[in-house]
Amino acid sequence: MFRLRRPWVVLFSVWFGAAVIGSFMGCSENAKTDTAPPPPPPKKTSTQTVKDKPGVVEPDTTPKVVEPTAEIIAKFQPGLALKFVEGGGADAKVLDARGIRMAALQVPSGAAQSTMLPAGPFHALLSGYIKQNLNGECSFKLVGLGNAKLYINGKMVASMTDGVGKDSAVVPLKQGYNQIDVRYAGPTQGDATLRVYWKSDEQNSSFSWEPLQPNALFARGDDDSLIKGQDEREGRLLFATLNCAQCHGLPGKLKEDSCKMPELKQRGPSLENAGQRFQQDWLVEWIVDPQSLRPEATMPHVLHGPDAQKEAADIAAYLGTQKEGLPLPATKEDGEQAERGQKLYQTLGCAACHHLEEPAEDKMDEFGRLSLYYVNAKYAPGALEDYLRRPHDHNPWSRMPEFRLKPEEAQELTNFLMANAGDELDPGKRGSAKNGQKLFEEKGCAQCHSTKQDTTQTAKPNVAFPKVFSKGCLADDDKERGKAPAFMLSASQQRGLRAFLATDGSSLTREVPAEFSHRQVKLLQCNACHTRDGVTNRWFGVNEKEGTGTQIEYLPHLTWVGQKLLTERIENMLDGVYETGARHWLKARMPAFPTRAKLLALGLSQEHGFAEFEDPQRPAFDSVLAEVGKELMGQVGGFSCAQCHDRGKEKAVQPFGSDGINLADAAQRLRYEFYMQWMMGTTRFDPTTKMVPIPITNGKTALTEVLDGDARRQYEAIWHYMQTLREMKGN
Amino acid sequence: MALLHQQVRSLANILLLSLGKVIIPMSKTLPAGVLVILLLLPGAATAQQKKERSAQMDYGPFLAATYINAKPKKNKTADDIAYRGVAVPFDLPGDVKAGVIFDTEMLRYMSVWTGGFIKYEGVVFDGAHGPNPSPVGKVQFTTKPTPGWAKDGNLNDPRPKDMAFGPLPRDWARYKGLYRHDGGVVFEYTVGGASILDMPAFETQDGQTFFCRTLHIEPGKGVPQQLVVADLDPTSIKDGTNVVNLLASKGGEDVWIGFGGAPPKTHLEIRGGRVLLHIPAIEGRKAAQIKIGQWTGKSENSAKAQQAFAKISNPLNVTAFTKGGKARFTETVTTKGTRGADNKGAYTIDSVGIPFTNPYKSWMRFGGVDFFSDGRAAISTWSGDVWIVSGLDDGLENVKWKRFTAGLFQPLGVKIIKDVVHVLCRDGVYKLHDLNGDGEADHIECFNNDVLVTSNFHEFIFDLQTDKDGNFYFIKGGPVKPGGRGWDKITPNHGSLFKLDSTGTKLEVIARGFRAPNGISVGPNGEITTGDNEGTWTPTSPINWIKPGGFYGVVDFAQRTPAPTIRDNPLCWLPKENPPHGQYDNSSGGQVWITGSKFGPLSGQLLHTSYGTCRLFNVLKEEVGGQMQGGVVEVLKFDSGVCRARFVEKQNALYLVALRGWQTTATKDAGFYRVRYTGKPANIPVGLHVEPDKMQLTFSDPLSKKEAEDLGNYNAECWYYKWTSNYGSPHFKPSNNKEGHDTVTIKSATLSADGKTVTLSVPGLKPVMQMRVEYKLKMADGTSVRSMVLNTINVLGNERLEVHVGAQKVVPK
Repeated sequence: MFRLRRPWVVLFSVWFGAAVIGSFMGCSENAKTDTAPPPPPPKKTSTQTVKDKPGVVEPDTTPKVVEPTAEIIAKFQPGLALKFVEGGGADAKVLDARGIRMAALQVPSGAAQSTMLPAGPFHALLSGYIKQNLNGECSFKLVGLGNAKLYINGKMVASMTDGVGKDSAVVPLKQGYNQIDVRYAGPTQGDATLRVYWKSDEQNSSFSWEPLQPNALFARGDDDSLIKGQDEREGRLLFATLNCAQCHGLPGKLKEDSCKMPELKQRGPSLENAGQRFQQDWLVEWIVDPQSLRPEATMPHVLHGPDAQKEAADIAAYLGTQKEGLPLPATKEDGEQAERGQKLYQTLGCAACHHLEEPAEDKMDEFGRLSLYYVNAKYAPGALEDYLRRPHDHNPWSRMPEFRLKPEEAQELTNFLMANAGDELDPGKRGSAKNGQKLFEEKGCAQCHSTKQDTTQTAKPNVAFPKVFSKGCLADDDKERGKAPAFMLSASQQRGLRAFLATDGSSLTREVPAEFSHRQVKLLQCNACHTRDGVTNRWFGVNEKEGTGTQIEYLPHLTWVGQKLLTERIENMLDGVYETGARHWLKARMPAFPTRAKLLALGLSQEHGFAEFEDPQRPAFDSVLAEVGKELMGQVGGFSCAQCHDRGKEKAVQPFGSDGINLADAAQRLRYEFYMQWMMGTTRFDPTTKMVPIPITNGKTALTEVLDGDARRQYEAIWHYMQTLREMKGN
Repeated sequence: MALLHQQVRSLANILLLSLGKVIIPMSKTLPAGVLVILLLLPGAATAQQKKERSAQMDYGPFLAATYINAKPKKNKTADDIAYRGVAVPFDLPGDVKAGVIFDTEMLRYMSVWTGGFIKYEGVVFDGAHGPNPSPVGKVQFTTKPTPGWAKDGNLNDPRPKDMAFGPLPRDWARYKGLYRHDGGVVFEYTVGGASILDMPAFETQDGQTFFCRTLHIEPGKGVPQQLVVADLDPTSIKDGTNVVNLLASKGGEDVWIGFGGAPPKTHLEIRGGRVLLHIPAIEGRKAAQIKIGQWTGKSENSAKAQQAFAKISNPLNVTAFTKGGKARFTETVTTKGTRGADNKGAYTIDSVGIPFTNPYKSWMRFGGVDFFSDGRAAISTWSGDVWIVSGLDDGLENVKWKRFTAGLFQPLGVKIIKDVVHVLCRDGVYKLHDLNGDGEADHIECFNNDVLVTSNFHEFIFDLQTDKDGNFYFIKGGPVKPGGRGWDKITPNHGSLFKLDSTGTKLEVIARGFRAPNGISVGPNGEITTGDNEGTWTPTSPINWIKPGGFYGVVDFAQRTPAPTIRDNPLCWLPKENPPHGQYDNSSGGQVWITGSKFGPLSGQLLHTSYGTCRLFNVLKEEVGGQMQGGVVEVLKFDSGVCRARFVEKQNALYLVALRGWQTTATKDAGFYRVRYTGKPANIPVGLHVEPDKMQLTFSDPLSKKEAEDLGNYNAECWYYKWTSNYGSPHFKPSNNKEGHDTVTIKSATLSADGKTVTLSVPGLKPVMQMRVEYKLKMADGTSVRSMVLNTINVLGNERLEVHVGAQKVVPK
């Protein structure tokens, strides 16, 4: 049976680097590695205190069971609600709430458990529903550190005391929604870690211990505390990304260097060399009304009144003088390149995020894609090519990922876009650069955008936060807004900003990686290419509608990535420095998001309840088992893994229908626990996998003569063999 | 060893040709020893294991396959292929190996060589997708891929240039089979009206090795015949006339060709590099015996060869070699089986012990099974054997395996008729005769070889069934390219279901469009079903209930203009992905009917196998509006890729054989199972009926009313597949065409009075390609059952389903 060997210990392996693969360090007290110093505990900035005993779950906390009505179901949101509460009881006061994907939590010792709360020992409540298609039975268990109790449909079924779990008996689950509540008290020392697992032994429907599947989890979207928490977070993000502080300063008496929220560092794109990169007429139109060119633009309207057009021309003329000699490629029209560019546009998945039609007035297209209709109007050809190659040069926080395009690829794409996007805008009157420079200062452009000439930092206007939201930037009508910039905010964005401004703003001094990843995955539209939590990637739908009839490639599902890959590997991948080439057949390529890589990777791991270096159960290398593993991968007396999988330089015998990934790097890339879960139930983790699952009956494979037929032992042996493959990688 | 030890007499009309150039295309082939060393290097472990295994196997006196004469260069096809070749190995003095390949389509010796046998390359040998085996050693003679015998003086290939596949027309020539004798084989065929026996051999005289071919020509319609002896490089022939004493001037190689024992007027001719033998009409009643001797060697040995040539023996009476050879596979293997538990379920699986280790190092992967009247089984292996299995008694303690033959071309179907074993091979249907009663086949009679064969590795041909009138049925897949997508050269026989009349003379295609249908069934009333496998134009595996003339999916094999845009509906589709339960059937096997009435609830039912997931399904079916429809439910799981099954009524037992040949979850190379009925409750669905707003599921045994009427115990979903040239298809919701499954709402569940039939009220039920009904119920005796039915609704009320390219459409009936 699948059990954690020492479930009460967070096992930090120091396998990476030159260290011994698979060796462990002991208990939580000394579980930190040199490379990951714990962040210093922040000073308490709030008067809130935890009333009850830290680290203890209240004994009598039977949750109230709410049968979801159709009305409640209609407002369900995916995942669970994570609430931080004062005390652990059923009627505990909710201090903060947010939605989470997994029934999991990971807060490094001393780090904040929530951006909205000061760090410190906490009580949390994970609540929601597990959806079942059929009456059934499952067993549950809690893994982590601290104390927890798990309730299913109001009944306590499993618990964890000081990190030691007591697994549930078989729990009946009914068809439909089963209420799940986990009461959790983080440990007084060490990381707060919690993961909820389940398994089923039912005939024709059994599965091994695995984390609760995120697409079976639902939370009440009508929960007040959840709405409040989500509004505050949306406002917090807008506050940062709209650069509110550039004009208004930080709330309260916060110092900029005490702020940890990464997006606060984000500015509007640099306008250095704007004169070389952007076309005058596009600049004018953009300055007057950004949303007319891009409905989803965040840039506000800063010019109001009858002179707006003229002023915009002046600012554009000023920007036109920003030519410091950026070396731009001499892009020429070339029909053949355009054709190759079209193929590239398809294989790289550009269409998953972009379309080429003229944008509708105030809405995005049905897939929520950004129009590229105006690229010719916006860019000089060489500037477009340069941008495609280095999208982050002038805007490190741009969502546009870096595809590591070769120069010829950028040329081809540029040519394709030149040939297929809209034309340049009609030429308008040119303005005065001198006047424009003045306006650039006056209108506050320089608060968000830097230019080369802008050597002295413009003083912040320090406009006070409005006491009422009916005036200034957040006003609903033009009159009340006056000369303040118009941000064209939606109602929910307005509500969010207001909710955030009602807080003390101290959340800007904290960051929780799991919250960061939550919002960045949305912002970066990872779902455009990767299926996640049961939501099919958008590219698939786009291809169905606009494609040539050939299927797009299956890109790895993102649902499990936080648990599947070691944090460092996720980071390297996002950083663009690491390419396994494991899926050698893919024409698409993983682009890079270097600005976000580190925190996003950590957040993804934490979403799954895993710490950065945590790899529970990873066994120490065993050369004898590795030999057995080698046999097991073969075709004579093995599972024929080698039929489809390359193993470093050693090629697959004959992949058919679909290639297998190169396993050379697998044992260095994967968390062992996920590897084992995958082997035990491939399609539960990726229903579209082409990997043929190995049939297991009562924990045994058909190869009964090897290691007693014990599937887990056999898979462990394969793991050991995979560890030896690393040096074989190459070519 | 000289094969012919008769009196020595010089041959007349010796022809000696000098070669300016070496005409040995195989000259760069590595000697076998070198090959082995190379293969032992790390980097090819598993292909290597397979190759070694294939090379070690004792194939007996012949090995049928598609052969190429030389390895083609990259991106080029070999210019000389014997699509239906029979390679014959010879042992020469001094432990030298030699071989010949006889092309049974063109009736020619494609290649004659010394110094090795063949390179065991290709899907059945080393698993490689693409290559075919080829000679190893020094090639002595070859012929071009054109007819080996002339018709009315014509030696041109009569087949269309762009479709040069299949045997020669019957009135030209026809292959009839081969006889095994102690020293090799004799090929039998007709040319025009004449019956011919053709015996290849090597003869060594004074250290010189000659390839000798003895022809026995029965008197027939008296047309003079020409046969191609060899094709030589025309530039090597100094004098194009029929002359003696034409020697090489220096260096290079020489060729000697001569014949003896022939009727008068027999003569050799050189025509543009071709060496032809002209044989006059055979007059009178006496058969002619002609022996042709051929020698290639270094010029310095030319004189020796000339002297040795004179000593070559006279032709023998070849008919003496068609009476059966001495038993060759004399050792039988005894195995012990395991009996399944008798007290657990209605159906229990006995495993017959398999001689994985055997004296012939034969690779046991089973492709066909049938039974003799006395209960013995004949089982074919993918590597070319047929084994006779006896001792299939209750205990399976003492099962004897006797190798009946080897060397067949991937036999994946066996049918025994009047105790004569018929096998379906890639190159045709053969009857196996034991002429001398020693338990081994001596005569491999070609029953029909009209099916077209190409060099593609994946154009497997599957199963062999008969109807009550004695007609045969089998099915052939498409030429899938290496890698799995797209096709190699397509012939009109690809993706076709065949009917062959009981005399073996008329072969017709009765349905088209199959991709890789690993198995068919013919029911007691002539019902024909096939499976198929996901891939190009096959969105997922179907079970097809065949209508003659029907089209079942792969547009490229439809042989219709314009190409079809609708395919005939299958009885049901089976999902490959069945989330969250894992794969359901990624690769279908064959089907089988349970005849008689003693096999419990499965009596009379049609069963289907999954090769890929090693399972046996019960097929729930009904005919609605002239269209069959239904679904499947899993009955049993196995540990190898079950794909052929026979129900033996006499034993009241279902036998299945299995292999691991291509992708499967199987972990064993072969399986031989016996499924018995124990009399215990089966607790499985045995009937499915669909009507507007309603589904009825009938179980083998009574259910508990409480659970059966609780809606929480059912979950129904539906989806469809897109039938396109893509490899497989995702699942789409009929409601909005997005990826995923639609939930089918069940309003009520009612149990019938006998407790066996559940009626589900499903308002708004529509025809759909795939539906899944999961259930978790209790039987009346308290046993819990949780399983699912996967079904298809083709016709429902006034509506029916059409499968169009890229979409399912519900149209009025």
